[in-house]
Amino acid sequence: MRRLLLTLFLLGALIPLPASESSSLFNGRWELLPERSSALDGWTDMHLVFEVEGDRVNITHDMRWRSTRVVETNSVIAGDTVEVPDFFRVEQRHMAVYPHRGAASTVSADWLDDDRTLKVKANVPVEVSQGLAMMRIECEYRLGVGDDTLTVIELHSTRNNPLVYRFRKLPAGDSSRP
Amino acid sequence: MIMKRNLQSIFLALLVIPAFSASLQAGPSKEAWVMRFDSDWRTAGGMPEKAMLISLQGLANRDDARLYIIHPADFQWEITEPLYDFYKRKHGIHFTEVRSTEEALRLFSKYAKGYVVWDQEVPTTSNVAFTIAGLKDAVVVTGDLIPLVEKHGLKQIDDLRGRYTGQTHAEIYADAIDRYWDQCNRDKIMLMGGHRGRVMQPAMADWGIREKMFFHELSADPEEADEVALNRKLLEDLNVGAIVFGWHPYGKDTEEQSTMLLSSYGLKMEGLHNLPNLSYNCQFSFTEGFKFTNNSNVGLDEKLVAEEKVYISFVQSDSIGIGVWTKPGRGRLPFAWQVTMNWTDFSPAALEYFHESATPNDYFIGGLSGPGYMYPNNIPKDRFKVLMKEARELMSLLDEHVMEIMDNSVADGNVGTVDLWKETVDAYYKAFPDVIGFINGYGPGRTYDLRDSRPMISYDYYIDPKRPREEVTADLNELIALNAKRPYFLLVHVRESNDVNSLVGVIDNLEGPVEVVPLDVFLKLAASKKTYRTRYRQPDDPVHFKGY
Repeated sequence: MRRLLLTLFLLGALIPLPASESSSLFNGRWELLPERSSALDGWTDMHLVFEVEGDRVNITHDMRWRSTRVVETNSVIAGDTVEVPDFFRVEQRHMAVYPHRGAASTVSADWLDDDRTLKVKANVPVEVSQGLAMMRIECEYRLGVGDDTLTVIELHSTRNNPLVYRFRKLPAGDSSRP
Repeated sequence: MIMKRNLQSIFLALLVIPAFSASLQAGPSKEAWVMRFDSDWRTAGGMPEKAMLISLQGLANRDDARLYIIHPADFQWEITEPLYDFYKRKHGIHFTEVRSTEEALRLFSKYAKGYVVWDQEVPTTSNVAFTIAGLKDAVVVTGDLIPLVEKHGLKQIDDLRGRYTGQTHAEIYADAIDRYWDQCNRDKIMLMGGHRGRVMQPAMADWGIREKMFFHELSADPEEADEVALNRKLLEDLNVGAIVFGWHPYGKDTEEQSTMLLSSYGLKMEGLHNLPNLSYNCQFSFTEGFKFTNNSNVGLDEKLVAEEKVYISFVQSDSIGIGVWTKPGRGRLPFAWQVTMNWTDFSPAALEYFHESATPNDYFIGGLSGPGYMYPNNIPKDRFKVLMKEARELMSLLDEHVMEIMDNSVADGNVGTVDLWKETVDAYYKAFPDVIGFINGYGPGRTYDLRDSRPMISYDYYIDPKRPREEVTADLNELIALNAKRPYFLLVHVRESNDVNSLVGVIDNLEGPVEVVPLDVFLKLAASKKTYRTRYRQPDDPVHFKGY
């Protein structure tokens, strides 16, 4: 009996739980609303793509600047802290603050507000003119009333003003890309 | 024998005396004409008439400075009106206003031998027409303008209508090269690109016509292989040290591709496509007794010691004249201004005007990368030394002691890698032993060095004119927080058209201690305490354009 319970427990740990009803509403592609967002220098467009699978959340940044397109995914686990190599940060590209290539960021994530907010905390190493520095970034991804808008509030340990990006959900099958 | 020598001497003297007296009288005419343009450059609107007048200007100004054009204050090259005042005031020119195209033709058609018709259905034929205009002394017209020029006695020299219908740019320019290139100037060429389509602004065509240049808008984009091949042929055929005037064609290639290509031939770029009046400006020298004296804030050999604070310095590149020089607020903050140094040859009056109108807070620096706009990572080694000698001499003439460097060859506009290979940095340190220092970048960069007392500092921030000022303030404060060691040297590139007054508000809200200092002081302080990390371009730095 004990062995059976242990087996069931281990199976439960290995098989991903389905996402909650609220968190699954994040799934899909979200388009930036530039006129309602903080100025995004060095990028002309941004989409976020959410994939929620149990505790794992993949957040893909689909970015455009002129003819440059960058697609990068940060994979976080709700309720856990993980090391994420080359964590993608939405850079203000007119600042001499660069990713520290190959370095890992310590990233934790949590669902809040009945799973309508995902909070991601990351300690991100960056390269500046004086060498290496650390930037703590806290992002809240908040599902809007009606479930078709998403607000991202980004705080930096090094910046006194929050950056606020607002998105609208694209219908399933929408093929528009940045 | 002696008699023969005396006769020879007398003969030589007779030859020399008139030439000498002519040189004493040399100088542009004190009587000239001025014409005012409006802002209509639509190809289906005011552009064809303007193109005709500009071609007429190039011919009228061939052997004397006769016609000057004033553009509206919002034209990209913003100083035509102040420079007009300068010519009146400092050179004693008396201008008579030409009030109509008809009047311009009545006055100046005698300098033309005829006209050439370009095909509005194939807009790039205007460039072929400009080339012909220079070679055959023609004005360029569209079909609609033929009656007007014929009324003034001009006969048709060529008609391009229909000749190039349905042909690609490569085909058109291959034909133009076959027909005209061997007759054109090999020291100068006109890349007449810039605006294309509904609006074209060939305001620099007067200069190309005066100097019998070949006009084209061939692409430097490797995807346009047939055009690049022709572009390369032209560049290869130019004489060593030649200058490419004009600007790259918008929408066909990028500034990065175009500048990289010509830099790889060791050629200098002198933009813009709409830089007006060079055919007039080139005929003046500096006024008698004028000597460039920069607003230096520190002695060349002086040593300064940085304190535990943040030092900020502002630089405006993009060539002085298309920025905010005439806008309110200049002088409220110390600003360094990048001067296109070879205007000593083509627009001395413009340089003198800038120096004369400088406030004590305006400091001039050399650039961009050399004696013209070039990308130094791509300049052939054997040309680098010669070009930088030229730059050194121009900087000496202009009393400039800082060299601004920019290599955007692998960047994507104002973002991306702008850094210099170590061997490029080595070459600059060797070529400029007497400068206060070097600055690098356009967008932010991370090439840093300090050798003896000469720092090389890259921009840590680029101010986009459209970025809200509260975000600019937050950005700068974030850089100050991230670069925690003091002193911190924060070099800021102020993009053209930024409002200086708005920057005053930004500075008031920075978290410091912060001090805004002139660039020469900034570099002297940066030499005293190196808190920046030596870095050059690395092989694995991001590359947007992979080159040729």
